[in-house]
Amino acid sequence: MSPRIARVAASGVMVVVGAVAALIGSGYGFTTDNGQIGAGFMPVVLGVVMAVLAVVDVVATLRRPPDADADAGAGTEQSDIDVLGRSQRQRNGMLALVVGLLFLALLLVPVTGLLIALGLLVVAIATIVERRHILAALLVGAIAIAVVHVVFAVLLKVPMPTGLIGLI
Amino acid sequence: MIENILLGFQTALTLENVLWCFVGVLLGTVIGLLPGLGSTTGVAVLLPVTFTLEPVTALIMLAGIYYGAQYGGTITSVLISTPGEAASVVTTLDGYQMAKRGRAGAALAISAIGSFIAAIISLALLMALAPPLADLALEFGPVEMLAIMILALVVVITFQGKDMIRGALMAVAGLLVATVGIAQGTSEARFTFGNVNLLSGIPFVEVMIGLFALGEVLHQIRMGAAAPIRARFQDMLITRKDVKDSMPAILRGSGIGFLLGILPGAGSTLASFMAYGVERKVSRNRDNFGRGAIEGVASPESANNAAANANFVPTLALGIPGGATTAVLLGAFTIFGLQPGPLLFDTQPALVWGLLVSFFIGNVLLLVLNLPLAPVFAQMLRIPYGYLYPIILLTSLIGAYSVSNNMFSVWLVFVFGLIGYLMKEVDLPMAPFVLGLVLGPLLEKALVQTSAIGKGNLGVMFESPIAVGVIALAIAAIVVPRVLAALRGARRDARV
Repeated sequence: MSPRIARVAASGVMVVVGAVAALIGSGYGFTTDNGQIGAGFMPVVLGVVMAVLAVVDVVATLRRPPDADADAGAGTEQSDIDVLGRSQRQRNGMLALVVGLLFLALLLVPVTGLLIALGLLVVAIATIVERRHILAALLVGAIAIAVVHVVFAVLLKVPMPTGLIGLI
Repeated sequence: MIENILLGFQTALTLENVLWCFVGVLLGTVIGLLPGLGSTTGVAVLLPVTFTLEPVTALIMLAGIYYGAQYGGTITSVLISTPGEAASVVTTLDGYQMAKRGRAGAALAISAIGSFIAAIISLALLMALAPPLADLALEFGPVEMLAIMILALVVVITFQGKDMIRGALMAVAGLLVATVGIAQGTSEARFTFGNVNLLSGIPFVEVMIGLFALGEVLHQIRMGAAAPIRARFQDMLITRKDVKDSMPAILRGSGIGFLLGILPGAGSTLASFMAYGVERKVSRNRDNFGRGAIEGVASPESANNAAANANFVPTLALGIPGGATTAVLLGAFTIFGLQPGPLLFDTQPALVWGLLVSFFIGNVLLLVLNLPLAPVFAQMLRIPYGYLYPIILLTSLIGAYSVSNNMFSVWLVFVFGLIGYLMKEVDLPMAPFVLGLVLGPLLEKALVQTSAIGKGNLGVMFESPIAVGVIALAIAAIVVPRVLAALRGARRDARV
């Protein structure tokens, strides 16, 4: 997606969000019975202002010459190959993988507990995404979890969810 | 006055008080380093530890945690673009850019120096002006606070220069997100869709962790690995020129921070944003702002420290907390059987002046502790990013969980992380969004109260000379730079 289309799409989403917020907000009452501002005042005013500003931004983006968007740095991309020799396509894949692994780790929390789920996430990212050696990844994951456990669970006494297996 | 200062030094400089002050700033720094844990959580968590201490010693230690945590938050803002608390958000703009250019050590050092100078200035001002300023702060009702918040939003929007529409759009988006939860005044639930977790609103810390920590990590993955930062040790050190260049920014930041810090509720966040906005307009190096200008670190850091100290004016003299952390400290006062208010200066002079002087001692300790450690902290950037970012994800998510002990917070970080990533991709500014989110509840509260004062008529705002003056400043902040630019352009055309 070109930077210009991405900017227009983002502002388009905000037009919709602003309009929907104003619409729902109007249901809360713009003013109270005694004429003072009601629960819907802020949502309506902000929703309308947001939609208007977003429309102005869409128009401004479309009127700007295409080069200006690239100059403004919207959606900037570095050269296709990074210092580790990864192409933009590979990096996009890595990004999707990290988001997917993160989502999976959070789904795992009720089973393994928060610390173990996130420890597995660290190891999975280091080995699958970053292609680090499994032993090094396990070592980093174990040290990180140990430090976090001591600081948060032991010293600060944060009650961590331990999940079904109930370890830490 | 001199007797008060001497009494303060006499109280604060006992071995026991200096030791606990040191413990406070050290623990505060460590707490500030942990994502999700800021000064408020730090003071609240460690409050029970102080129950066995003398009240003055306990308060000195808790105050040490307060400004220690602020500095800890600065370290993560500079090194990994993850602010520990809202007051450090602005520091990420230039601090992180400095770190990327191998100057993290200098950014951290100028932050410590700026905070130290701000502490000296604000201490001198506090001692001279605390009682009259307390009277002045009383003049600031909801109407005046509403005007101040509008000014703050305008200043932040003007950060964006030519892209002011996008700045305004994000500020409004932040304010809109802040409307989620129970409405001010009417207690009606808004945009909660039956979810009880949303009744108290979208929690700010989780949003911040998502936008800055997770959003930045995802952005970096897509941008690809950059060449590792291999700065020489001497590049990590701050130079005399850095200090000289930053001095005007530190002095201006301290003044702005102090003035905003004395207003109840305004706090350090507003001060750091305002100071950065002003510096971006007046600094000789303004063209480099956002690209690693050292003044862009010095100014907000001085401002948030000065504001943190000045926050104690309404807290001590009026019994009104200046911000969330001083609200917890106010609770500590009552636990120790002390009643903050106008009489406190007369009934407990040793405690009040001892506490105020301890800010100075605490900042000396922070400087001594952190100036040599700044290049050491900066070495963290040498860790390969492939290992660093999974650890950032781990600590950020655990930090978010620890704020409310609720998995909802962790999911919020995930969602706002994706939003933060998309915002970076389409170049939407985060600072106005964050300020909108922080100020949203305060702004609505002031708006509801102003509406009540005017019996539904918000025009009552223009009956307050202070509010009119502040609104005039806000208009000037938008109009004056445009008029000046137009005049400069016309002069240039005339020359051609």
